[in-house]
Amino acid sequence: MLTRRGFLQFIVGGAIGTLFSPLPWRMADELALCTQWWTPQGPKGRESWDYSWCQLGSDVVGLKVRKIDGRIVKLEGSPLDPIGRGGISPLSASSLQLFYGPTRIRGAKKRVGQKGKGKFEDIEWSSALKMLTSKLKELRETGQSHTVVCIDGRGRGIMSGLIRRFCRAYGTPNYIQIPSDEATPLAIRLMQGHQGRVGFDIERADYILSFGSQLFEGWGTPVRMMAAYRCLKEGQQTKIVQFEPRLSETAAKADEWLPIKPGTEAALALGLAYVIIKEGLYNKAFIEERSFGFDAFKDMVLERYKPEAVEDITGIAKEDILRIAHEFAKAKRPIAVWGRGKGDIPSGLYEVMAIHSLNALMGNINRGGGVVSFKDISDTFWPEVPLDEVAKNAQNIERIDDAGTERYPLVTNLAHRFAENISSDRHYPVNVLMIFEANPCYCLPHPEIMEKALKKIPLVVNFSSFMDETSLFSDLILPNHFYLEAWEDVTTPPYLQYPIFGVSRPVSRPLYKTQHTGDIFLKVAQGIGGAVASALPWGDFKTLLKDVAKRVYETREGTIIENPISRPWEIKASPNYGSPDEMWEKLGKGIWFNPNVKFEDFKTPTGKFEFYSKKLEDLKLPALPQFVPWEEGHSEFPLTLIPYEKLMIANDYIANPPYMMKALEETVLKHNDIFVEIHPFTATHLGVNEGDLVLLKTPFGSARVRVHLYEGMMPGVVGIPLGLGHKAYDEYLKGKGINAYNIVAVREEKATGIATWVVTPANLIKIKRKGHETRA
Amino acid sequence: MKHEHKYKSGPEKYVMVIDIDKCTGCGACVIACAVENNLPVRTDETRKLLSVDWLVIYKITNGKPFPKTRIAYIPRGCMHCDNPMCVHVCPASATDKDDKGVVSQIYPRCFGCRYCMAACPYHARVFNWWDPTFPKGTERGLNPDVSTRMRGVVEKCSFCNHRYQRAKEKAMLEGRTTLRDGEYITACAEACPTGAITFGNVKDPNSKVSKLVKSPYAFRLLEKFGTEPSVYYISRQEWVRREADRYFEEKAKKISKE
Repeated sequence: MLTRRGFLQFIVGGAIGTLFSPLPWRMADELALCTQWWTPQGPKGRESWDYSWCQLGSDVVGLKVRKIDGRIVKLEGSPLDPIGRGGISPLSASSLQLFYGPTRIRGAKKRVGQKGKGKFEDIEWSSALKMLTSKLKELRETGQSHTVVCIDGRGRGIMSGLIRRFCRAYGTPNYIQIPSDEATPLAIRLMQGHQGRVGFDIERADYILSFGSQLFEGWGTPVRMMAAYRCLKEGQQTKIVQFEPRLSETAAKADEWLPIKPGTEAALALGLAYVIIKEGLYNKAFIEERSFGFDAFKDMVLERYKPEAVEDITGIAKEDILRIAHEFAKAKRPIAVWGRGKGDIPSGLYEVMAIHSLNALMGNINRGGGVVSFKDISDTFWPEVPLDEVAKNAQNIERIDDAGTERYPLVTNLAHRFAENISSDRHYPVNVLMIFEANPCYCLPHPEIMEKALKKIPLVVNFSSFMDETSLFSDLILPNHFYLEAWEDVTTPPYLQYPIFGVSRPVSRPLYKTQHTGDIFLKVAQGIGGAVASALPWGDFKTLLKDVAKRVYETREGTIIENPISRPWEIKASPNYGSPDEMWEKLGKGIWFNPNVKFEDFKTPTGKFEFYSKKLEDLKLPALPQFVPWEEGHSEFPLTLIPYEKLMIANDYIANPPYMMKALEETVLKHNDIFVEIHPFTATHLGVNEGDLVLLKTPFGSARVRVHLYEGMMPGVVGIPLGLGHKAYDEYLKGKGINAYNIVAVREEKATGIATWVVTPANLIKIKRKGHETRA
Repeated sequence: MKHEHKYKSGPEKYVMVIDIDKCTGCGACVIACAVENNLPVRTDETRKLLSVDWLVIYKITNGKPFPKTRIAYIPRGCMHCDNPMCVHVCPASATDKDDKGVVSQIYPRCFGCRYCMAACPYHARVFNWWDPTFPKGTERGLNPDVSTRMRGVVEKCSFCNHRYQRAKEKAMLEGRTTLRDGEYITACAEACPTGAITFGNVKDPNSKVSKLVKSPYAFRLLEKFGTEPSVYYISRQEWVRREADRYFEEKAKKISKE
């Protein structure tokens, strides 16, 4: 029988005995291990490499993808990319964080709470698709097909062509691109009669005039422009002249930076034209044989844009205007470049016409080192759409955004009017809105109007991969694959001087329950049936891509890159594949490109380059390039606010990954406060110091910001970066800074309706705090 | 002190040459470095003194008033000095200079006294005030070749030493003992879209860097300290050279003679 003493002896003896065994020490060790927080480590495994293409934002970058046991761990620039030639941009390098990150949407979702509150529940893909298809079918059967709107944020390539084709076959005129550079294609259409790509042969130019284009900060394709910079610096020592109110990174790298009053680029271009014409420095052969309306242009320029007058408008000294015009005219292949910022801060039509006139004066159009125009496969691929009765009727219905109507006959998209018209119930109500790769609730001026519009639309379908601002206002989210998981087309990016075509293959299995938006459009078309189904007969997006590749094959032009090439625009290309299958195989690694592309001749009514546009004359609009002054400043707003763009801030559908937020300078963002840049003179005048909190006021709103004194900012001008101040996403991005789009002033160009937000009257008011203000 | 610790390299000595005139300050190198080396991210990275960065881009100006102002960008990682101040002061032997020119950092040995940070005139070293954090889910993209660092240790640019090991292994498998020019380059050099960063073995007479370092426009940061950095910069703009090394006068005379 166990006595009390015996029991105690057993316990104590047992305890002492255990101490002589390894057990307690081992346990203490284990306890220490499992109570520690261990830093995460990347698991080891078998390494493999793949090829892909990143097309986020304005990027088009060929990638080498490093994988460990099938898991992607690194994205590097591919030397088989003729555009970037092995370089990479910050966004593509950090896009892995977007791929794995917490803001990805993991499956189809249906809104349950109020719009804008971001409450969703999961829904099966099959029922989501059924819901969308039946709704579209019902609207089409009841004669309301035109109340369906598609917003396309990619705006180029096969995917955009597919959406546009769907709209046409389905029977809606409402295919809208956001953001959209309307002025460039329009100016080229009017002056050259060309509809297709416009390329700038920067690499071969020997003198570059940039009218506010942030050439090395995202203009065109970032890696291409960086590679071009290297080429210009190593080769012919091209001179780059930058006109910009702010010393941007591009201005810093230019050979000469001339600060210009914001928004007066058109006047400067015409002032330079004055000198070139007056002194007879223009290309006489081109002007006499291949241009129309030169005399009218000449008379107008000589009368209105004397260097003295231009100095008054632009703030650029008369001597500089004379000197630069001489240098420009003397160069062999001078090129004038437009597209403010990354090209997303819109220019008006007349400004682009004014700048492009300089290229025409030098005859530097459709030749090496100049502005070239050609057709891309995404322009020529699509066969005629078979239209049924519904689709035919829809062609006569006016667009909801007024583009192409009697009032705005020239433009194809007016995104800002779309939001306004819906929220103010002009025209007809919209029943379904489908949004692809766009975030209109963030990256359009005054996003609150768009929010209001989305609240009025009963079914907003968003194909976004991310829980962004627009997703919060959607009814149905059908998340697209991330580019690493999808079949994607690679077509010619803006401003590249030769066409390309590539196929980006999936390099990872889909992480979540996502589906390719291209496949969805094809499935929905089949679900609707009839003419819509026969217009979109491809089983899936990959089949469509194979068809496109076959068409490229049939041209028997161009070549697929197999080894790194240092100057791809100079080679003589011939097909290095014998069959479509061989071509398809090779497209897995390299890309097709055609540096010997045939340039498109002038197809204007006169068959010549039109300084004086016949088409504009017919429409009773001013037919010559001109400078339209901005409204005079208000006494309440003595300063001028200009938005500027940074390569380190992605500011469209894609928002900044955490590593890019980490790499931002502390003069852009401090905690959650955004900095505006002002010149020290302006600061003295306002009585503010570096880092002080101020209230930035414009006629459209106000925001609390900090000031950064920057010697490279024009006095009287306030610069604010675009791309911060998100209301959605995760804690790495949300609530950091303010969204400059909230407070900019939008000016609509009278003739075209193009909205520009280059110049905003503003004021800075020092915020007085109790006690002393501590420096950030 | 300089003579007491004379460093002798082996048959390989890796150096980096950065052409400031080509650098557009785009930051691709910074991102590539962060991804390659598993740098942690915090939700607020605006207090740069607390941030863990191996490579940063300094923006310098010529100090002239508007509109004569010019700016230039200087990407700055670890200088991998031949006479490294950090190595001299480390009480734990956690940092050393190896025979291929890399100043190493052994995290488990480091106990976080931060003497090295105080000694480094380039501010190349950073301290882990917290355990590393990554946005949820992104741990899946961590590079298995580089360990993440724990709280309380100092870290810095390693010239992507793991990439050297990878290149060396590959060469060994092919039966070579030496590396070809360009076979081992750092993540930043590889990413640079303007080709501003060149990396290679300066002892190899055919390497690109061995030619570049001889340029009359080549200089190093704060040469007067005698740290003998392995990172060279090139700029044809005099004001940049002057700003980067205030002990410039002698060099200026040399260039003007040539």
